[in-house]
Amino acid sequence: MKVGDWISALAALIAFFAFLLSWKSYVIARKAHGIAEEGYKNQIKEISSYLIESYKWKSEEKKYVTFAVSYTNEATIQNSISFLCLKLRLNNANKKYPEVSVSPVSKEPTMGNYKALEFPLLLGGRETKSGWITFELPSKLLEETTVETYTLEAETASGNIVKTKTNLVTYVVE
Amino acid sequence: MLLSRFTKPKGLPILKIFSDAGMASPLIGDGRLIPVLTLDCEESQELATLLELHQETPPGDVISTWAVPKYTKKYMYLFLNFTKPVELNVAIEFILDKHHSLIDGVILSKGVYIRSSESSKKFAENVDAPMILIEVPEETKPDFWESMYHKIIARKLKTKGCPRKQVGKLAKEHIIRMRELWGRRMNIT
Repeated sequence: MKVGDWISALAALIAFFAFLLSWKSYVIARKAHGIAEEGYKNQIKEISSYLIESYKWKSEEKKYVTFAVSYTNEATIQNSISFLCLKLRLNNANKKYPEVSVSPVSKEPTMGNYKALEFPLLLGGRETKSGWITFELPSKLLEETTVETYTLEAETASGNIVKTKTNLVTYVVE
Repeated sequence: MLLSRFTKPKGLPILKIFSDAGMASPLIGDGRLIPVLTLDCEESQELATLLELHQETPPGDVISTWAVPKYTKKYMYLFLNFTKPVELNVAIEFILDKHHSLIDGVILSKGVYIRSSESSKKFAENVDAPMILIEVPEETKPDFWESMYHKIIARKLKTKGCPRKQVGKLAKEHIIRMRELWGRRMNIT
């Protein structure tokens, strides 16, 4: 073998090692990208809700509906619920009603062990908070109609709306 | 959730409806009339146990799914996937020719009571027997239900000798009347 052949063989060997090294770098970079992507996905996850219990009750001639709800921040970074309201879809065969929106009240139910949830609700990464939320029902409206669906709408800091729906609410006589 | 393309429920106990009724209470579900299904629990003794157990436990979780077999339009199933207080999967079998109004009742009232035939064959014979209320959210309503229900009623009217021209109109009217019945509310002031 001539000197030129040795040099070419050496160059080929170096090129092969360079290829192995770059392949390894590619694999590591891919892994890092996967981890970064997973981290990003975990950061942009939203808040989920779970309805534990719901009931209606009456106090001093006023009707209330109370929900025991838990909100879980699925993301690894902090998020919050800035605003919450209850949307009522009403039912009457003879008349059409628009969706009614009511805000929470500070009235506390006498039953149950949960404490009231206060809004805005701050949720740390992967944190869950549970509690009662009470709303006063529009009594006058409910004299002529009934509620078809109760929907809790929570608006998160990122602008998403988390909906919690129920149709069957039990009336508790105190 | 809706599964519309399947051949038959596999690996699930299929519960047949023994008898049915309706119950309205001003204290539950804003006074709506809710169907009560007495189920033959021979296929699933676990459900009979769940019915008894559930009387003393807090409200549980159940995911309901309507399903219609791909190759036969004789049956419709309501899959119930209980996750709390016990894990259990069952399917309630509705015979479309017989239970169409009942299915519509479940869809309209967004709920159904289930009880076992072991306590009594009919609900009225033992109203205190254990039963549970299952919420069937409106999102579970099958897209094809309106046309399917109309077709079933129209076919029934045709076999009873109703003039072909009036079948469509009469089927519509029948559905409206039945829905008026299921739509009744018992309100509390």
